[in-house]
Amino acid sequence: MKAVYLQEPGGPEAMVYGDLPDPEVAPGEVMLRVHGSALNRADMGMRSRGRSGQSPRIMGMDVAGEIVSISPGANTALQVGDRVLLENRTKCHVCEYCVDGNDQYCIAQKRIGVDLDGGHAEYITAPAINAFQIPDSMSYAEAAAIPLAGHTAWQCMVVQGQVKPWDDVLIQAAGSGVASMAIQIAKMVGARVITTAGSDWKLEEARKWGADEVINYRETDNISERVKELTGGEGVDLVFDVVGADVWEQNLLSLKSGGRLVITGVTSGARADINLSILQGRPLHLMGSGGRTRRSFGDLMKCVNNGELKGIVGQSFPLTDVPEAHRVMESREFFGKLVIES
Amino acid sequence: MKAVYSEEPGGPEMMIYGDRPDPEVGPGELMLRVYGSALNRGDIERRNQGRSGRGPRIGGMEAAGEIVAISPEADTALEVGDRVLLENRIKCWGCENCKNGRDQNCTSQKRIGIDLDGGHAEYIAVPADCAFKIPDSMSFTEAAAISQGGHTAWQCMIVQGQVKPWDDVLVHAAGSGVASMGIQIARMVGARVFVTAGSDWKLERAKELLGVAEGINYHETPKVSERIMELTDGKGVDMVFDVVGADVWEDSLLCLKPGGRMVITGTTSGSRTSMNLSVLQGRPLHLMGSGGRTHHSFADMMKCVNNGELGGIVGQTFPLENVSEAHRVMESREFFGKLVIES
Repeated sequence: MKAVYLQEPGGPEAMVYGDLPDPEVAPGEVMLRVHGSALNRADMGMRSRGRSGQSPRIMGMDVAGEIVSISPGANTALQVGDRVLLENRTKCHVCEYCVDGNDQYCIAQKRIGVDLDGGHAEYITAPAINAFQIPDSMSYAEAAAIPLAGHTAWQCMVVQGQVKPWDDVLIQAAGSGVASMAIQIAKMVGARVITTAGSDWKLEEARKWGADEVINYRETDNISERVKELTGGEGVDLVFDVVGADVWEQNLLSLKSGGRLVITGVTSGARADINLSILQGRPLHLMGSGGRTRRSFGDLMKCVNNGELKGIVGQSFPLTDVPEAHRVMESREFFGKLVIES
Repeated sequence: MKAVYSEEPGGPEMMIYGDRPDPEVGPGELMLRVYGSALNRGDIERRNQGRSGRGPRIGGMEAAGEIVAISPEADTALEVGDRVLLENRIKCWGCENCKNGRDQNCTSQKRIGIDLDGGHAEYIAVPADCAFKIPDSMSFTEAAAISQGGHTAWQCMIVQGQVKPWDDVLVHAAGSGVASMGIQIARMVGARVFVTAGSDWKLERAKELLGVAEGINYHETPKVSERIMELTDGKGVDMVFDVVGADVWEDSLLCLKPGGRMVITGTTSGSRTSMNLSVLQGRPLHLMGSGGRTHHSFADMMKCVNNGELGGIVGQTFPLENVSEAHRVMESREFFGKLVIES
C-alpha cells in the first residue's frame, strides 16, 4: 500500500512517500481503509529528533476511515462498512492502573503514529475498542481533525477545568488545533470566550467558531489588562493555555479570585517564575492536562455524534504532500487542523 | 480591664500588659469574658509592622470564653452563659460577594486582633454570628487553639484538597498550628499521613498525638521526595499540604503521584521561586492556594468539633501578662501546635 513514513530524522523532506506492506488484522483488531489523518505538533518533534523502535514508522496520530475487516474474535458491535475514527492511545486493560479505572496512567499504553504505525497510509489496523462511529453526514477529513485535539481540549476544559455556563474563559493561541477545539467546547457549555492570536484573520476565524471577544497579542502590550477590561475589572474564571513560559505571568494576572488555569502545552518553553503568594492568597488553582481516559473519549464522541462538536479543518493535503503539510504546520499560518486525505 | 496591646512596631517587648477600657456591646453584638486566646503568625507580622499613630490595638486573633452580655437587637439563639469560641473574620453580609455566597471575598471583612481589638484581654465584644458553641467537656484553652489553624487547615484539606480516605498525604512542618490541624483533619477522614519536621521530638509527638504513619526529619533527609517515594512504593503521595513555600516547592512537586494535588497556605521561607511547567502539565498536577474562607465552612468544621472528631492542639500556655514571652517562643519555633494565652 501507499504510505508516508519516517526512516531517518530530518526536515519535512524526511517524510517519505512510498510502498509498504499492507497491515494484517491481529486478534481483537479492525482494519480501516483510511481516508483522513491529521497532523499534530508531536509529529514535528518526532520527525526532527527521530524516534526509538521500529523503522520505517508510518506517521499520523489521528485517523478516520471505513472498516474493511474485523478479526473473528473481536468483541465489538462495529461492522464492516462502519465509518469510524480512532482514539490515539491503545491501553493494556490489565495493568494496575487500567484495573483501577485509571487507564490514563496505563503503563503499557501505545500511541498510534508514534509507538505503532499511523494513519498516513491507505490502511491501518487497531484494536476494535479504539474505533468510534462518526455521524453519517461528517466527512472523513473533518472526523480526522477531532481525536487528539478534541480529547486534549475535552480533558482540559471539561475534566480538569470543569468549565461552567457562568464562566468567563481565556483561551490562548486560538489558531492551534487544541485551542480551537477548546473554544468550541467552552461555547457548547455556554461559557463566554475571550481568545488571543497573532493575526486578525485567525481572530475572525475564532469568532466564527464562537469566540465572544478577541485580542491580537501583537497589538496588545498587556493581555491581562485587556482581559480585566473585558470582564468588568474582575478577570476570567478559567485560562486555557498551550503556550507556556512566555504567557505564564500574564495568564496568572488574568485570573479572578479562585480562578483556574489548565496548561497543556509549553511551545514557548517550560521554565517559569512563580510568586507563591499569589497562588496562595488569591487563591489560584493551577492544573496540568495530563493523561486522558477512554471514558472521557467516549463522552467527547457522544457530543460529536449529537452534532454539538465539529472537526476544524484548516487545510487538507493529498497523501503525496505530507512534507508540504509539515511546512505549513511549522509556519503556524493555519487555523485548526491540517488533514492528509488518502 | 486588663489587656495586652501594642502601639508601635517592634520586638516582643512591644506587647504591653496594662489597663484598657471595657468594651461596649454594640447592636447585634455579644460580649465574652475571655479565658483563652491563641497566638498566630499573623500576630508576629502585625507586631513587627505595627500601626503607628493609630492608637493601641489589643492583640489576639482568637478568643474562647463565656458569653456575659448580648445586645437586645442580636438575632441569635445563643444565651448568656454559653461557652463559645470566635471565628476570626467578620463579614459585612451586605456586599455583592456576601450576597452571592462568596463571603470569603467580602469587600469589607475585618479580622479580630488586627482590624479590631482582639482576645488578649478579659473581655471582647463581637457580632453574634462569629460565636460558635463548644463542647461542655472542652477547656477554653483547647477551644482557643482551634479557630484560625483549624479553619485554614479545613480550607486546605477539605474545601480545596478534598482529602479522601484512600489518599496518602504529606504535611510539611508538622509542628505548625495549621499543619498540626491539617494532620488531624486528614486522619479524621481516614487518610494515611506522612509529615516532615526539623526535630525528632516533634515527629514523635505527631505520631503519638495525631497518628501519622511516618515522620521525616528534614535536617537529616536532604531529599524528602526520595524518602516519600520509598514510603509509597515509588508512587508518590496524592496530596501535599504546605506552609513553607519556596524552600520546599520543587521537591514537593516531585513527591506527588500523577494527578496529585498540592495546597499551599503559607510561604514562611519565601514566595519567589521557579518551576517546570512540563511537570505541571504532563504528570499532571493540581496546584492550589488556600485563599479566603467562608462562614459556611467554619460551621462545618465546628460540627466536627462538637461531634468530638476535632480538638485543639495546645503546645504551651501563658498567663495574660506573659504575651511577650509567648511571642518569643513562637519565633523560636520550638513548640508543637498552638500557644495559648489564658486570661
